[in-house]
Amino acid sequence: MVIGSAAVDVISQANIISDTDGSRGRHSTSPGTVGLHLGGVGRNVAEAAYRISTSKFQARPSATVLVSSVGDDSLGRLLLEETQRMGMRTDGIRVMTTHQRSAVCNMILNGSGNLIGGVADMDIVRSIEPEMVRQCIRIQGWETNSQTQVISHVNKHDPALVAMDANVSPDVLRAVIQHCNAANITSESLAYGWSPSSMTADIESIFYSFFVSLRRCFTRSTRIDVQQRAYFRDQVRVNHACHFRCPGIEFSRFSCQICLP
Amino acid sequence: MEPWELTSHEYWWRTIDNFSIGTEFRLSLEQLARQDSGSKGRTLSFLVDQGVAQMAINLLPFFQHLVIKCGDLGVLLAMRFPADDPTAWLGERSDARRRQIVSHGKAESIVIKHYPAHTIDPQAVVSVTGAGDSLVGAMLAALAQNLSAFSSPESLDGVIMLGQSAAIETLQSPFAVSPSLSI
Repeated sequence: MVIGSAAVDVISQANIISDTDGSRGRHSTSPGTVGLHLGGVGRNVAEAAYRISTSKFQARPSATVLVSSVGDDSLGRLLLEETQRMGMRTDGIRVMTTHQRSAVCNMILNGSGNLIGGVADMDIVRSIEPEMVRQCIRIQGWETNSQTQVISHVNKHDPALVAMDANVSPDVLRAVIQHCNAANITSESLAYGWSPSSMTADIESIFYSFFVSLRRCFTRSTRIDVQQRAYFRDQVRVNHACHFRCPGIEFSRFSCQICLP
Repeated sequence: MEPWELTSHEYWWRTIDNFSIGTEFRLSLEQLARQDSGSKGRTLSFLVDQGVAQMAINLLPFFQHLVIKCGDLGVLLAMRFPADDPTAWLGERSDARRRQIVSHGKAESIVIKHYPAHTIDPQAVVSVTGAGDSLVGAMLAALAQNLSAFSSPESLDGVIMLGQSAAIETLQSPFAVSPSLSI
């Protein structure tokens, strides 16, 4: 299960090859090629996982689920249709009924393929709500401690792995962590006693792996803070809510991954 | 100091202590930094000069495995295992030529391992978009099949190999994820 953004990339490349001072084509349009491609970190990761797991591991096509949101617009329909055409399931993608725009990233390349600029409209990523993720997780039969009906789903769909695109809101990161943790401890009762070691022991079991991009992370900032504000605010109840805050860094290439035993 | 600063946690200090990182580890790291990165004749010195290895160690108390994508400089893995965890890594040692540092502390073992990037003819690169996402997606697919894939050097090699191959496929495709991954 991958939770994250799904976007349409609009890539425009001008035909002009030699443009020494970069002035050609300015204040005007240039002839060239414009292509529409599916993008978005969460969607990309889900598509790669889907393709690899079906081709290399003979997994069922439905084994990979993307949890995302699109607008009720033509780009949203394009995303749904193309995802379906690839053979991926789309039941985790919610079509927003409010007037939210589907995520679009528009990139303009010069004749030699280098990025000149562009606009990324990714606001809709923040519309993935904790409740939506909870529902998806419940559909997947994640809540083992509810009705027996759900438990039968557990045996069928229990996601082995949950990956998150860190573009989603901190609330979603937190909700997912809590749900994973709940599934983690179904047979044992977790001590909610307050001590730094019990708290961080939870975190380490939750964040099984973390993928970081070198370029974004290490060359632009000297440190990464692990933020545990919620933890400090409510010491007893919220003992494993945390999210990552990287000052001055784009979150887009971060994805953290949660692994259930 | 902000209360969520890493070093303000007693836990962080204790865990770092448990790694028992000493002179030997630092020497191994310096040795590793002198190795060839496998790309454009560059060495692995960026791991130390840019603070990559140091940052990875700083974050390890919070993660069991860190996968750091270094673009055309390959992938760096930083992992920790409890000393009583019977993983195959317990039998491993530091070996600069294999680009790995294995440190067995009293409570925890630390593994730092670099994997060179797969080579590709620069002319064959169509678009870099989605290469890193393809790497992560492929690694996730492998992990979903075997959740303890990081626990042995052989299975980890397989996971990284799969991830890097997927990234190479995507580099040669105009799409964010190459359709050829389905073949």
